[in-house]
Amino acid sequence: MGKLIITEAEGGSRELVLDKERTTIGRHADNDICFNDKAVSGRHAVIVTVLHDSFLEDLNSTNGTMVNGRQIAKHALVSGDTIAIGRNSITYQSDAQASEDLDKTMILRPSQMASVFAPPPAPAPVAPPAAVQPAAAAPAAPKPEAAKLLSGKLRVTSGSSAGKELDLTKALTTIGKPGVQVAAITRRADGYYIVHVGGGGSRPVVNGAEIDAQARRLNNGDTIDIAGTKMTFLLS
Amino acid sequence: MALKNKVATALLSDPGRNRPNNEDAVGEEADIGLLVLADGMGGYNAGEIASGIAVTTVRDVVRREWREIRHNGIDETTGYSNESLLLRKAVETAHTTIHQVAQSQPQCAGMGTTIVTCILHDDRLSIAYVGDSRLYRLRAEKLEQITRDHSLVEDLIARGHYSREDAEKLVRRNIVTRALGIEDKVEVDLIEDPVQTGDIMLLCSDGLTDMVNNQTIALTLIQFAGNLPQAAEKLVEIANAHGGKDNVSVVLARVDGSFSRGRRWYERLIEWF
Repeated sequence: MGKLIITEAEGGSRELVLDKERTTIGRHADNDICFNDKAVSGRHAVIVTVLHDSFLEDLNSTNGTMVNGRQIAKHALVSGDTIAIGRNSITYQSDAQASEDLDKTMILRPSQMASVFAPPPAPAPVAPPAAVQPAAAAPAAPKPEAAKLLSGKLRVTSGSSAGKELDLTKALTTIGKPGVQVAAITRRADGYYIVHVGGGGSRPVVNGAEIDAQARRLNNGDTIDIAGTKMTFLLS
Repeated sequence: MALKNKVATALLSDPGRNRPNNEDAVGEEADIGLLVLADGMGGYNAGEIASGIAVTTVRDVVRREWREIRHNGIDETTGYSNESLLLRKAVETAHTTIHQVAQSQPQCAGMGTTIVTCILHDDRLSIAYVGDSRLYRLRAEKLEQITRDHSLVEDLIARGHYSREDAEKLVRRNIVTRALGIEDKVEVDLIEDPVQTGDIMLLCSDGLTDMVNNQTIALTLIQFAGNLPQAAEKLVEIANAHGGKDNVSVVLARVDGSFSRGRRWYERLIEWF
């Protein structure tokens, strides 16, 4: 696993192995790496370690975090990287075996997920020093949820069946008139898709335009015109 | 040839140029229309064991129970066809086996595998997948990714933490959030889709898609559509020419005609009108 060689502004030097999921850096005494340096924020940055990889994140610090001379918000650490925090320097080293694994697929276990889910990317660091420690330092990582199945439905908007609704609870739903025009609506992980399956030379119409041979993703509010009946697709 | 000559298939798995062994596995049951691909991970050669178990188990379970299920029926509770449910059961069985072996053999501890598998039946496609091996479909000369990776990149995008562009720059690829064998339980995703004559399905491990972009994949499939074994070789060749950093596997299927069971499914299963 990776390790850090920490060189403080006063000149002391020590090593730290990255064997924790979160290694915090800052001026406060409860950080894993504590720098007694006014140029360092109380909670300045964190190194998140996932399997063999470590990711450095600036926690909206006042003076920023630099890697190899460049200011970063988030950075995937590479062996040899030099991190500058205040007037202190940290070099990241990872062993040869780990870097061979760089392209290997790795599994992220649910228990490790929480530490990886940082708050959403912070806007560009504000120039005036914050009076209050940034909220981003709080462990507000969202709990990983089991994938929720999408919930869509169709509502007829024309003809005698106007108002009638069909919940799209099946993985594959078929609508239309056989021999005239039939379409299938399929549910994938990221949305519902409509595709023409049979009947007639012309294809169903979505939002006023005939769909092509490809499956077309349906968005909330899309109107579908099939076999002479109009309906609206609704996604909750 | 599968499904009474209506579906042509080709399977190819290559260690690539960087790895000492091949931890991918591929397989099919041609008369059923089943295709399987798995990309294993773990120390020593455990990845090879995991992916091998995945492919063998899925084939065994589907083959054994294919005649038992009620075909052309939808299970009302889940909203899936019985064929899809059988496929999921097969993948879950593979997971349990891999998990048990991983617990009982020290050199297999922590092993796992991705899996992407599909059955072509009655002019439809049932897909089951876990991890970041993918299923693409080429239709009317356009390539579309049908599965969505169970990966850190996709998770962060779905949660709104990153745009796709940012995620691909800042977050390491190849971190999967689900795999067979690792945790006690696994959630298997299912997709059902209609199949059209002329469709070409591509199942592949990330050893292909990490080395070859979608446009090149599409052009290769279009060029070699009539000769799937050659298309498979070409895809592997390009992946290796671009570096071959990982094992690379492809499974191809081309639909040459209808393989429906009697009346077309969409006439039997029509919801409305």
